[in-house]
Amino acid sequence: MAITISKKAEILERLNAEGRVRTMDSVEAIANREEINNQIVKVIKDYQHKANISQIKASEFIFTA
Amino acid sequence: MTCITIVCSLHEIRDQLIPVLQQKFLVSRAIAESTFDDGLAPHFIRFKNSVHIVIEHPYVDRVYRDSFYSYFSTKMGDYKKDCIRLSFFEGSVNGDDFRDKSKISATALRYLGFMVLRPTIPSVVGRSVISPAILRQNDFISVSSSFHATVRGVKFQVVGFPYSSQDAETISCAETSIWAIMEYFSSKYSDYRPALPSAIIKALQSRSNDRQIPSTGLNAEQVGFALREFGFGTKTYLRKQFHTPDFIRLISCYIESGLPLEILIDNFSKGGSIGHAVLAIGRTKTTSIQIDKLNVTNETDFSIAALIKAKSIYLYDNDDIARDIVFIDDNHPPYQLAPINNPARHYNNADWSLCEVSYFIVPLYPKIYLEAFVAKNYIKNLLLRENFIIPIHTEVFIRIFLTSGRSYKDYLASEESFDIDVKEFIMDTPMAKFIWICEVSNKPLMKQGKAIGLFILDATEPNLQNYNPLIFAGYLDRFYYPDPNTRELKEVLVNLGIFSIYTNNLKGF
Repeated sequence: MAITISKKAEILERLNAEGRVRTMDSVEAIANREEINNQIVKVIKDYQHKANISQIKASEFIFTA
Repeated sequence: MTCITIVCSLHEIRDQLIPVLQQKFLVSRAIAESTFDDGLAPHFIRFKNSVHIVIEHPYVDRVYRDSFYSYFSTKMGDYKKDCIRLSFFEGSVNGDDFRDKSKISATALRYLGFMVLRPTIPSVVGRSVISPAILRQNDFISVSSSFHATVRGVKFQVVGFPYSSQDAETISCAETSIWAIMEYFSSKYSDYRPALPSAIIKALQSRSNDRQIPSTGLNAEQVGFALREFGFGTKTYLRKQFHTPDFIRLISCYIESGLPLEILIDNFSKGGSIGHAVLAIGRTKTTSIQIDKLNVTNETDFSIAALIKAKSIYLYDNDDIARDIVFIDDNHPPYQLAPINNPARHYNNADWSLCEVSYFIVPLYPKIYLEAFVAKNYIKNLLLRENFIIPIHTEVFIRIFLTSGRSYKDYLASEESFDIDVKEFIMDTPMAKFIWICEVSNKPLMKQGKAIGLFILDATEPNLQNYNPLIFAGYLDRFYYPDPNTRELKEVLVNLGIFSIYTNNLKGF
C-alpha cells in the first residue's frame, strides 16, 4: 500500500494545534515588512549604481603580465 | 617514432628531463637547463620528497595543438607539435604497476596528477592538473574537480584545479585564467564546454579593435564578455565602487560559495604598469585563534549599523576573517597562498608588492539573479528587523554563502544534528536551483563548526519585496517562512537547537 512520507503538513498541523504558529499580520509586523521593503529598494539602487560604474570602467583595466 | 617512457624519483628529475627537453624541443643543453631551473624547478621544489615521476614523449595535448595549428604553425620557425607529459605518483613506480592488473588499482590511488610540457621555450608548462596532496604544504581548502588522464596507456583520475603557464603569444594571463575556469566548469557540469585558446580568441573577435595574436592581454570588460559568451551570468565588481571592507567581504563570500573568481590585480594607482589576472579558488582553513581575534564587523550600511547599535549586539562576519587565499597564478606554480590585501606576496618583488585587487569577476550560473552584495544586506535586515529575540550584548556570528538547493538538501538529509521538525520542514519545502545560506552562530560554537540559526534565500529571485526570496529564516527558538498562498509571514515557535555548519562547497571550514 502506498504511503505519504512528506511530513511538513503534519508538523505544521501539530504545531498549529499547540498554538505555536501565528501569522505575522499585526500592525507592527506589517510595518516591519514595509521597512525591509523600503530599505532593500535603497540597497538595490545603490548596488545597481556600483555595478553600472564597474562595467563602464572595465575597459580601462588591461591585464597582460 | 617510438614512445619514450622514463620513471624517476623527484631528486633524479633534473638529470632525466634536461636531455629529453634538449632532444625533443631541439634546444641547446644550456637552454634546456635554464628552462628546467627557471620554469620547472619552482614547481618540483614544493612537492613531497616521496613523489616519483613518469616522463612520456610524444604526447598530443589538445590545448597546445590548438595553439599550434591556429598560430605557431603559421610562423616560419620550426615549432614542434608534440609535447612531453609528466605524471606524478606518491612513492616509487615501475613498469609492472601499469601492466599487472593486481597492481593497477593500488597505483591509481597513488596518482597525483600530470603536467604537460609544451615546446614553447621558456614557458613550457602547459595544461596541468596537480592534486594539492602532492604539496608539502597543503593546509588549505579549495574548489576542485576530477580529471581523467592516462599513464602508459592506463586510465587514472586526479582531483585538482586546472593550471597552465601562459605562452605569452596565444595566451596571456587573462586568456589562461578564462581557459582554466572553463576547464574546471566543463569537467564538473554538463552545461559548460572547455574553451581552447582559439575559441577564446574567436569569442572576443567582436570586442577587439586591434589584432588578437600575438596576445597583448585583455581588459576586464573582455574577460567578462568572454565568460558571458561561454555561458555564465557574469558579475563584475570594481574596488573603487565599493567600500574596501565590502569589496573584500564580497570576494570572501563568493570563495565561501565554492566559486573560482577571476581576480584582476594591478599597481596602477601606485604609479606602476603591472596588470595581471589570477584565479582565487579557495582559502586556508579557519583556526580558533582567527575566530577569537575577529573584530566586530565594520558595517558600512548606515541603517544596518544603526540597528546593530540600537540592539547593543556584537555582529561578527565570517567574511572579515583574514585568511590567505589560494591563487592560481600562471606566473607561479599552482596553489599559491597570499592575503587578499597583498595578492602578489609570492612574487617577492617590490613592484609586485604594490599590487592590489582592483576588480573581480564572478562566473555565476546564469539563473542566479540575486548577487552577494544585495543578498547579504537583505539577510542582515531580516535578522535584525524581524522578531528574533537577541538579548543585548549577544555575540552574533554570521556566515553567508551560495550553494545549490540540491547539495544543501543532500547535506540536510543525512545531518543528524538538526531538530527533526525543522529538518523535515525544510526537506519538504521546494528549493530553488541555487540558494543563499546564512548560518548564524557565535564565536565559541563556530570554533566547533556549529550554528544556532539558519536563513535560506532563493538566489533565483531578484524581487526582494514582501519576502519574495525568503524560504526559511530561523534563529534560536523560532523560525519564519512565507505562506506560499498569501506570501504572509508565518512564525513558528520551535527551537532550532545546535547543528553542524555546511562545509560541502570547499570541503572544509
